[in-house]
Amino acid sequence: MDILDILADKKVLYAEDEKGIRKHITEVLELFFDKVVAVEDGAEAAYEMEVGSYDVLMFDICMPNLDGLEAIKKIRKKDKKIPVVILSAHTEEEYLWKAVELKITKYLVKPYDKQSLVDALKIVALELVDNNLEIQLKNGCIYNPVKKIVCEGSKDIQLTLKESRLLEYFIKRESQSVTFDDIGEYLWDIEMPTKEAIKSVVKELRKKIGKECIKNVYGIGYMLEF
Amino acid sequence: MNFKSLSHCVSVKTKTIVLVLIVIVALSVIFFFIRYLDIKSFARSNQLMELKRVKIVYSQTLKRVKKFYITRGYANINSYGIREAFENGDIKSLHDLSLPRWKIITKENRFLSTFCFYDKYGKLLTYFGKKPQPHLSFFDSLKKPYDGFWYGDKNFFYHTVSEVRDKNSQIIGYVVFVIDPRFFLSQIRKIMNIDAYIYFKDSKHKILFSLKKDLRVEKSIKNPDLLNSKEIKLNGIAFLPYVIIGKGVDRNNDFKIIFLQDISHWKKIVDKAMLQSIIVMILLIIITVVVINYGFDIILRQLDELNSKLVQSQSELRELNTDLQKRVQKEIGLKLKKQKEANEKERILVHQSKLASMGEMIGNIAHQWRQPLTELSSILINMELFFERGKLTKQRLQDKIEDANIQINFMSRTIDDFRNFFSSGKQKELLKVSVPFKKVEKLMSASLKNNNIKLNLDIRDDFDIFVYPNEITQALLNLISNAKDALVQRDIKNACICISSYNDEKSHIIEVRDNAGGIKTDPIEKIFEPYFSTKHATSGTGIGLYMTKIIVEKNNAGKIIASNCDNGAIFKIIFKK
Ligand SMILES: Nc1ncnc2c1ncn2[C@@H]1O[C@H](COP(=O)(O)OP(=O)(O)OP(=O)(O)O)[C@@H](O)[C@H]1O
Repeated sequence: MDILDILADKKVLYAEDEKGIRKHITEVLELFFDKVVAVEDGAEAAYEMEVGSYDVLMFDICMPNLDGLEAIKKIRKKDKKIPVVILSAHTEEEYLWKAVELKITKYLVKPYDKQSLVDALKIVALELVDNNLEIQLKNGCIYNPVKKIVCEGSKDIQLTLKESRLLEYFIKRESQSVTFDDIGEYLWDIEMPTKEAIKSVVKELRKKIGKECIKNVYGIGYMLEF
Repeated sequence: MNFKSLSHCVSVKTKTIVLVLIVIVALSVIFFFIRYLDIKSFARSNQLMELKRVKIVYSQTLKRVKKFYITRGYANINSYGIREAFENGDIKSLHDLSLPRWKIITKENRFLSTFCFYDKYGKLLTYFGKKPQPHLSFFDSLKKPYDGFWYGDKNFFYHTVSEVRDKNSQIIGYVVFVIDPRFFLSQIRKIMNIDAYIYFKDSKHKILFSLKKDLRVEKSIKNPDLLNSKEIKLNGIAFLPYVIIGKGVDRNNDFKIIFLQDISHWKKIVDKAMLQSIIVMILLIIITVVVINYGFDIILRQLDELNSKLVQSQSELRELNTDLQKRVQKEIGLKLKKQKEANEKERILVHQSKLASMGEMIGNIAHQWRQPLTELSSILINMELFFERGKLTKQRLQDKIEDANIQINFMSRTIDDFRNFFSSGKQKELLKVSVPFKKVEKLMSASLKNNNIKLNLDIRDDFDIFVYPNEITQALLNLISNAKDALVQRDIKNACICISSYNDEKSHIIEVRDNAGGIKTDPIEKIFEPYFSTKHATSGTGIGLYMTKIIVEKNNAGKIIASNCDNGAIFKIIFKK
């Protein structure tokens, strides 16, 4: 079982101004994540955060236009939970303290090796599922975010990418109503899907985890109940 | 030697005392003499005034007396029966008519001795009082009797003559008043309180008039040696005689009015002045003697001391002379040692600065290498992870190896740059200023970039400089890394360092400017002192700017100036054209 599989359906925003490094690391991240968006400075990163939705951030500190820490500060005002990994050449304490204030998941000092990068990604993965690898659902089903499997007694049901993403999105927002728009924006990238498309995904998920888990909120969307 | 100087001094002392005493005595005498003259002249003017007054009193009295008695005479003549009596030669009625008048007049003036009547030939008709001359004396030239002092009939007197005339203005007789000369003396006495004497003397007769009888006075007045203003003594009292010539009716009848002035009062004043002078003089002498005596003792003592000191210092001098050679040698040795020490210090400083810039260089290398190292590591991570997943194709492997080689080449070039910086450039070279600029940019770019600092090169004039290339690079590096430190420490936004080169009329200028807010040290020049640093002990040695200054000013004939502009520090390196 590989915890890193949690990331397999996740989107990461990667900011690094050195072209070479950016290229190599983007290729590496693509091995783990469903989607990798690489940008070359802080300002672009902040813009990307405005227009897209991401599960994980990986930022260099020293970047032109907007320094990585500043960009994170901006993002943190809206999103307090998103895991952030910093990849920096700076070892000065000052930066570390700032990083701590910004609730950084991991601070990687350049040059880093494979192991420390993988470890960092693992911590990120665990954080994404609140360190819970067996999530109890309402009808006695257990969801495994690593394998993306729902266990019902002795029967394992594999979830598709969209389904697992949707389920984890619901889990993160348990007992909160989630709108069609939220779902559409998170699951689809560029063009907004039709309401029908969203409804069909929800319907598929309900089939696998039991109807009672996902409640309809009339006129707005859905809500996950435990 | 000591004794000799002492005796010598004693004689000097006596001489001095004597000299001073003489001066004092002389001064005192002069002083006294001036005082004396002063008193004398005062007395003299006083006396002259007295004389003048006496003269005035006398002449006024004379005038008054004359007028009075002549008027009296005419009054008598014009009174009832007198003129007729004259005309008729009636002596009896003349006498009887005039008697009551005489009685009155004689009461007015006790010195009026005679009231008498003469006929027109001067023959005595009748008289009251003392018996007068039987014949009235006539002046030969005038053929008529005259008022004035006369000597006649063994007597000296004054008389007035009033003419008696008939209707045809023919003289028919004379009315004459005879007045004792003492009357004038009494007037002088009354007004001036002076005893005067009238002395008449011709070849045969001497007559002296005085108000008091005093034989001694009379004797000294009669003395022919008596002279005006020549002091005489009477009864032990000093007098000054004054003589006024009184006019008689003619030369033969001239007489002297003499008075004596008591000058004992003035004498006393002079004596007193003399006494005072003498007392002052004596006091002065005593004081002088004491002071000089005492003062000399002190001076002598000091001289003695000085002398002994002189002797001592002479011997010291001799010692010193003999010692001098040694000392000079010793001093020179010491100087040389100090010089050596200073040189050593300088050497240590240079060494320290070398170390410091080496440290800085290593820091720069670390920065320069961090990026390629990171890239290398990212390549390795990439390959490893792809390999793990069996996705490492041949193509990918080749690409990655190529990428890695590029980075390794870059790193090796970087290390060459730094090595060159420390080894090359032992000779002065003529080079374009853009060369060290480019070099510095290359060496510092990574470090600056990592700190988010922009470096601008602004080569307005690419002039030639004749310098040790690595030294000028080191100077620039020091300035830039100081600016970098300030920018990082103060956490400046939009941090920027600008190095520029330009010409002005007289010089080529290299300028390093930052926007870190400027140098806070006052006076600003202090930052060029060795070991001056405001940084934490671990990060700043305080040698950087000192060495920079040495490098620029000593070795490369430039000048370095630090200043502040409104948002940062400016360092200028100036080369004369
Ligand atoms: N650009 C600058 N802006 C502000 N202050 C400066 C600047 N350059 C130098 N200083 C001041 O001058 C001081 C002396 O500098 P100097 O280079 O001689 O020593 P240092 O930088 O402290 O130590 P080191 O030589 O080891 O780097 C610094 O401590 C700093 O206070």
